[in-house]
Amino acid sequence: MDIAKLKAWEMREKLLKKEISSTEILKSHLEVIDSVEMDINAFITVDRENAMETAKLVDEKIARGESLGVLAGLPIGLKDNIMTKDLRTTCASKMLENFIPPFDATVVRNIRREDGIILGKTNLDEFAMGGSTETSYFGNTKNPKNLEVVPGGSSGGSAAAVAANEVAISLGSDTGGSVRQPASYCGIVGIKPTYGMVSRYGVMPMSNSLDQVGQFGRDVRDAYLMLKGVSGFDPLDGTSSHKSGVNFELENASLKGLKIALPIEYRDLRVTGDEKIREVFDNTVKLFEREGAIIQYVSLPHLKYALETYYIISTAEVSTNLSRLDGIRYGYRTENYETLDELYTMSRTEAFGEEAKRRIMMGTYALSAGYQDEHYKKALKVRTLIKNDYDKTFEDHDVILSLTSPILPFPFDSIINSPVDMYKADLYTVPVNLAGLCAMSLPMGEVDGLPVGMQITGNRFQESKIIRAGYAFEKVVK
Amino acid sequence: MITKDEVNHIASIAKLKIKDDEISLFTEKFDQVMSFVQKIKEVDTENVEPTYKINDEDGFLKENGESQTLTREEVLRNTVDTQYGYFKILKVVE
Repeated sequence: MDIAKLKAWEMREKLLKKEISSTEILKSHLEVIDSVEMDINAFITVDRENAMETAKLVDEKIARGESLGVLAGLPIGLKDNIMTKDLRTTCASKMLENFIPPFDATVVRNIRREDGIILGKTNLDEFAMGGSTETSYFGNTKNPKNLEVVPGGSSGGSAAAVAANEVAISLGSDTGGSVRQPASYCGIVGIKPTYGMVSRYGVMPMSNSLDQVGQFGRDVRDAYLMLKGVSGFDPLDGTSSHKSGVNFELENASLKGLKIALPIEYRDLRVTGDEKIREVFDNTVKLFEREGAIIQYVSLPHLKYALETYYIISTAEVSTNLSRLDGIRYGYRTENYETLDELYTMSRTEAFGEEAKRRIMMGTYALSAGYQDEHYKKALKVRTLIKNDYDKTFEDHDVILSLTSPILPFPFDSIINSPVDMYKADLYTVPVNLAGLCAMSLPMGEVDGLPVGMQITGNRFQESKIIRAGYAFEKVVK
Repeated sequence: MITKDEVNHIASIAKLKIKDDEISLFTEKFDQVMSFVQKIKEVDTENVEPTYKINDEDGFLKENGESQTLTREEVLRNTVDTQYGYFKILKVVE
C-alpha cells in the first residue's frame, strides 16, 4: 500500500483501526519527499527529526489506548510565514533567512494539541506577496501537475506539497487569494475561512484586516479536517471571533434546493484567453442545475472596483507591517552603514525583493500626506459598498459560484514582469477578503491538461454551506 | 504621471533606496500600478462610512495580569549584536 497517496481522512481511519502506524505514514511521505522534492522545491525547511519524534509519540499514545486528536498522525506542511518555536521561519525573504521564532503560532499549538505531525515549512512568495511563488528568496516551486508552470501563490509551496503527496494536508495564508488560487493551479482543494475563524496570532501579518489562515487538502473532506484542527476562538488574537469553530456532517450534503448566485459583473470582467475556462465553468453550473440547485443571476455593482480597492488597502497595511523589519531586533542587518538611518535604509534595501519594495512603496504613497483621503480613505469606503453588495446577495442566496482564477497556471517568468497583469488574475478572489467572507476553491476540470478551479463563496461564518456544497459537487463528479 | 523625484521621496519615507540604474524602470512600473488604482475615484462614496474592520463583533481586551512571555535570551537570540543583555546599535546621542 502506498500510504502517501491516500487521502488524509483515509490515513486517519486506518491509523485509528491500527492498520497503519503514525511512523509508517510519516516514512511514506518522507520517501516521496526524497524522490520528488529536488524537482518540486515545495519546502524551505523539512524537519525530519522532530516529525519522527512526534510520530513516535502518537504511536505510543495509540499503544496506550489514549484518545487522539482530529489531526492524529497526519504529516502537515506549514507556510513559512507561520511561526514555529525553534524552527526557522523565513517568510521566503533574505530579511528573515536565519530567523528562529521564540514562540509557536496558535495554529501550530492547535496542530500539536490535535496530534498532527509538522513535517516542514513550505515555500511562498516573499512575505506572501505574489501569485506565483516566484518572488521567493529560496527559488521557484514547480507545479506537480506540470513542472513547466507555476504552482500559483503566494502559498505555492503548501499547495504543491499536498498535490505531490509530500504532505497529507497543509496550511497557507490567504490575503487576496493566496490559498484558493494555488489550490486551483495545483488541482486540489483550498479553503479561505471567514475573517476571525482561524487565529492569526503568530502568523506574519501582511494585511491585518484581510489575512486569514487557509487550508489545503486533496479533497474537500481533507481540507475540512485541516480547518477543524486549527479553528477556534483565540484570546491571543484580538480579531478572533467567538463564533469560530466548525463541526458539521458532510455525508448528507446535497445540491438539491441550494440557492446559487452568479454575479453578472463577472461576465464583463474578461481577461484574454479565458474562453476555455469559462466553458468548463458553464458546464459546472449546468451540473449544479441538474442536481437540483437553483441558479440566479445577481448584480454586485461594486465588484468591478474590488481589485483597485484591494491593492490600496492591502499595500497600505503591508507598508506599516513591514516597517517592523528594521535590522535591529531581528532580521538582516547591513554592513554598509555609518548612521542609524543608513542602518535602517540599507538593511531594508539589501534584504527586500522587488515586489516587496513595490508594495511597500505603493502603500506608503497611498498613506502619505496629501494622498491619504484620496486613496486609502476612498478605498475603505468602496470596501463598505462591496461588503453591502455581498450582504444583499446573501439575504436570499446560499452561495456564490465563480471561477477561482480567470487564467491557467502560467509558465515561469511570463507574468511576473508585468505587475498589473499579475494583479488582474486576482479579480475573483480579492473581493472575498475585502468582505471577510469564506470561500473554497475546488477542481472542476482541466483545460489544455492543466487544472482549473471553481470558487464557492459563502457569507461570514457559513463555512458549512460552502464545504457541504463542495462535498456534494465532488461526490457527483466522482 | 509619477516622477523619479516623487519615487525617491516615497522611498525615503519607507526607508528604502532605489538604485540610480533601477530608478527609471521602477518609476515606470510604479506609475503603471498607481494609474491602475486611480479607477476607484469614479465611485460615488458620498455618505458612505469607511470599513476599517470587517467583523461585527467588538474587539476585546486581555485581562491585565502578570505573565512571562519571553526570556531575555529568547528576545535577543535573533539580533546581530548584543551587549550587557541589550540590543547593541549605534550611539545616537553624544
